[in-house]
Amino acid sequence: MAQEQKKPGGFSKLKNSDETKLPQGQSAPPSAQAALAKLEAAEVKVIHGANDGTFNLAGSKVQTVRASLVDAFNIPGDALSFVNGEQVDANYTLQQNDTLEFVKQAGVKG
Amino acid sequence: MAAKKAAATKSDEQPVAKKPLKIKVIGTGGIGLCLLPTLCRYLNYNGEKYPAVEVSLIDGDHFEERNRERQDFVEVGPKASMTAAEYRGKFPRLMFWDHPVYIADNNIIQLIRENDIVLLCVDNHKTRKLVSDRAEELKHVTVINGGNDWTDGNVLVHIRRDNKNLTPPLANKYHPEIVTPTDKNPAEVEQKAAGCAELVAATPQLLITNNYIAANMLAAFFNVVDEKQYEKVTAAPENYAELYCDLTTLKTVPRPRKV
Repeated sequence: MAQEQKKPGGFSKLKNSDETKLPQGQSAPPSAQAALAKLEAAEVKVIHGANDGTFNLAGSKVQTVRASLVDAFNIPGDALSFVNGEQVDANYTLQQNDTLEFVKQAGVKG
Repeated sequence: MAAKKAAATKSDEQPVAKKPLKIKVIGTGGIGLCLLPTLCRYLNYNGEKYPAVEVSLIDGDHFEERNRERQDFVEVGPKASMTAAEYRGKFPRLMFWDHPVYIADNNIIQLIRENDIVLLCVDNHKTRKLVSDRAEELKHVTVINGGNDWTDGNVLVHIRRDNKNLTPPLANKYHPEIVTPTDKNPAEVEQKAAGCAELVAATPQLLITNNYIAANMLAAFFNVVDEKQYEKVTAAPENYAELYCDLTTLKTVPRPRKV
C-alpha cells in the first residue's frame, strides 16, 4: 500500500519501445500513427546523478515523476529539481523534450 | 641592420619557453593519495611537454596508523610534509612544496594564485566554498574538485580564463550545499586534526571510491593541460563542468553545466 502511494503513476507511463513498434511491412492506421507520434513527442529525459532515461512523461508533474523514480533512480528527498537548467518546484508540469534533473549533492568526502 | 634582422628572426623561431605548471593539491588523504602517484609519474616522465612543474601539497592533517586502511604513507607525521619528502625522491624532476596547514581565510591568498591548477581533494564543503570564492577573484585559474560518498561521487571542474568563467565555479546554483555549507572547515576546529577525524568517524569511506574519483579528476586534468584536448574543452566547456561517477552501475556520466 505504502509503495503504491509512493508511486502514484507507477511505471505505466514509461515508454516501452517494443510495444510501440509494428511488424515490418505493416503501417499503422492514421489514428495510431498520430498516437505514436504524440508518444514520441511527449518524451522527457530524466536524470539523477549517473542515472538517466527517456520516458513518456510530458504533462506529468515533477513531484509525480520523483515519486515514480524515487527507488529506481535512488533520488533523495532533498534533491533539487531542474528543468532545462532552471530550478523548478514540485508542481511544474513537464513539457515534451524537457530535461528534468534531480541534482545530486556534491560528494563531501575526499 | 640585416644581421640584426636575421638575429631577430632566429630569435622569433625559438620555441617559446613554456610557463611552469603550478599544481596545488589540497588534501592528501583518501582521494589525494590515490591521485598523486599517477599525476606525478605522468608529469615527471613527460618533460618535453611539461618542462617545469611545481606541485604544492596542502594539508593540515597528520598521518596516523588508523589511516593505513585507505592511505599509503611511510611514517606518521604531517601529511603534506611526509608526502612531499617521499615524492621528492621518487620524482626528482618535479619541484615539490609542502604546506602543512588547512586552507583558511588567512592563508588562501598566498596558497592559491594566478595560473594555478588546483586539485581539490578535501572532505568538507566549507573549504570548497572558500576555494570557489578565491578562484573567482583570479583572472586565470583551474579548479578540479573531487568528492565522494560510499560508492559514488562527482567531479566539478571550474575553468576561468581572462576573468571569465568558462564553466561554473564550484559554488553554483546546482550545488547549494557548497554555496552555503553547513559543515566545518578543519581550520576552524580547535584541535587541528579533529575536523577530519570527526568526519571519518561519522561516515566511513571506501578506498575504491576514492580511487574512482581520483581517476576521473585526473581525466579532467588531462583535458585541461593537454594542448590538443584543451581545444575541445574550450569549444564546449559546459560538457566538462561536472561528472557523476557511480561504482555500483559502473557509470561515469558528464552533466553539462552552462555558466
